[in-house]
Amino acid sequence: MKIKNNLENIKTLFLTLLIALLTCLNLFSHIKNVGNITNVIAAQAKIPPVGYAYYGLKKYLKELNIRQAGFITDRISANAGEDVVTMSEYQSAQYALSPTLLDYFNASNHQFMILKLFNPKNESRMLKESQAESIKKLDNGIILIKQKGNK
Amino acid sequence: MIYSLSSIISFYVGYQIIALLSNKNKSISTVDIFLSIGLGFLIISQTIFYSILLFDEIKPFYILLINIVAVILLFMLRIHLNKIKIAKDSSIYKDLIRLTVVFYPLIMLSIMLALCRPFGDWDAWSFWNLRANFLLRSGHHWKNIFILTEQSKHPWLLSLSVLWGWIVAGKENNMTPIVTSILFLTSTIGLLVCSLTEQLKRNISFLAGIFLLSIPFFITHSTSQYSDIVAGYYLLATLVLIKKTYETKSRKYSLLAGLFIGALSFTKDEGVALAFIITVILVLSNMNKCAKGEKIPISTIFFGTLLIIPSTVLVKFILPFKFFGENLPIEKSISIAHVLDVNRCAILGKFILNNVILNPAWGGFWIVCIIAIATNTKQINTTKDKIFLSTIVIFISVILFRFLTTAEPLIWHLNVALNRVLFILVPTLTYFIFYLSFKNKEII
Repeated sequence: MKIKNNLENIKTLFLTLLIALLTCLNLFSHIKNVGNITNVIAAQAKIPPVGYAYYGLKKYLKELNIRQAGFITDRISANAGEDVVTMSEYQSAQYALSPTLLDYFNASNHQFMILKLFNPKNESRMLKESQAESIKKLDNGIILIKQKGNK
Repeated sequence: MIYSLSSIISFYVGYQIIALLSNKNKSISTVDIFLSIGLGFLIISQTIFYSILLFDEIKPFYILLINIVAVILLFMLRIHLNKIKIAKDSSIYKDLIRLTVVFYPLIMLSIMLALCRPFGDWDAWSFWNLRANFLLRSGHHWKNIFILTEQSKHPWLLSLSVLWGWIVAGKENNMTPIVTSILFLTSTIGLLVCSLTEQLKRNISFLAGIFLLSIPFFITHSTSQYSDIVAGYYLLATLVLIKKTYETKSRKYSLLAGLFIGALSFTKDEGVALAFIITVILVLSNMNKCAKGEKIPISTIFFGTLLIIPSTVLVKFILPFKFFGENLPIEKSISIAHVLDVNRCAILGKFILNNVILNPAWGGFWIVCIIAIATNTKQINTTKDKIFLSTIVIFISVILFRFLTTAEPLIWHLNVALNRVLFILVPTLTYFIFYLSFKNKEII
């Protein structure tokens, strides 16, 4: 019985020491990072809000009472739905322009579309392909476009 | 201050309800304080959800009015019924001071980590906070949220809590989601330490809290503004309340356990799975009444759960309709045969070993869990211990099955989701391994 109790105690002591050791190591890694964290916080103050580049379109979407719009880009990727760059751009736009719904999956079903150009040289090609005209052009290659004909 | 006001009101609502449920001659415990926060957020999110259905849009003024009237009514009711309040000599103040002193540096670190990412990680702004922002801005068109993304069918508790913060602050802001995440993190730690203190020596309970907060992935992910810390908190609270129900047979804790099971189902899809698992386990364990005296007021638990479940059912099954991407030819079917695929099992096993158990971001957490559970299996001898263990084991089995049968590329799916899903279990596992390893031990 006494041996059994001793074994239990050794087991508990071992576990306590292991947890304490791991806690110390983890805390040490946090302490090393504190300097970096402070720098990152300072840098964050200069970073604009998510989707800031799209803020200029808010007024036009409201004026034209656009509740749904397509979202297209000139970026070519094998699986656009899983392309991080495209999705990041689309979701930033959606966050900024909510409650207007941006449809990335069936963009051409909508009369109005938001075109994001990663390369400004593609503007005329994209407008031609979409059979659309430019309504409002922002910096950073962001354009509100309207498809010609009835939708 | 304005960014914390919504949390203070939520806490007050939760506290008043717990005080009303408490017996006159029994004082409020520190555990109750940390339960109040979760209960308050739950009640207010339910109020907002049903007010959206009632008015067919977000009406910030009415939501504020309803909640302020609720606070006043609860306060008056408590005074009228002469229900308990915290006595001046209560140990609650001492406990709270101890917690503040010990955890201050780590909580400050978590605040700094949260401020590093003012918009949270990707899913925070593109999903949880987007939903809050959409509901606030969309007026009568709020149901369009279900067109936007299939993910809108995920339960709404976090988004509605953020929305509540914005309503109280009077505008959208980055600080509310940060404050909400810090509050749930702090409440999780408080609940863990205080509920362990009721069973173990104080230094061991504090070690559990420090160990949990020291885990790099835990502290980083808790402040990412995702719903995982919310689900983690409600899971721990639910199991602690079930344990207390078994110990005290009190209707207060059984009703709260029921409400928290419902809350769990309103946090995220994994929460729905956990709520279902816990309910089934409770039914089965109650049916097996062989151990005399272990019977609990299970009808009160189910009553509490049934109060919350309708909101989850509405969000998941009744309200949603076709979303934008639904007509895409996405492979959604799952193959049960994948479970028997040796290659997939090997990939999963290797991933778990390298990216979970030996992952430095977990800071040795899973190694401690494996050792603690393996060396203390004999300690799992009561119904409440078995409920803890079976919930954990069944949930892990369910998620492994889900990964094995995923239609997505397996490695990609594991990379984006496995650690996050396991995160939900971490506070509960910490409680369980400490309780298991140190109960009835005098050495420390």
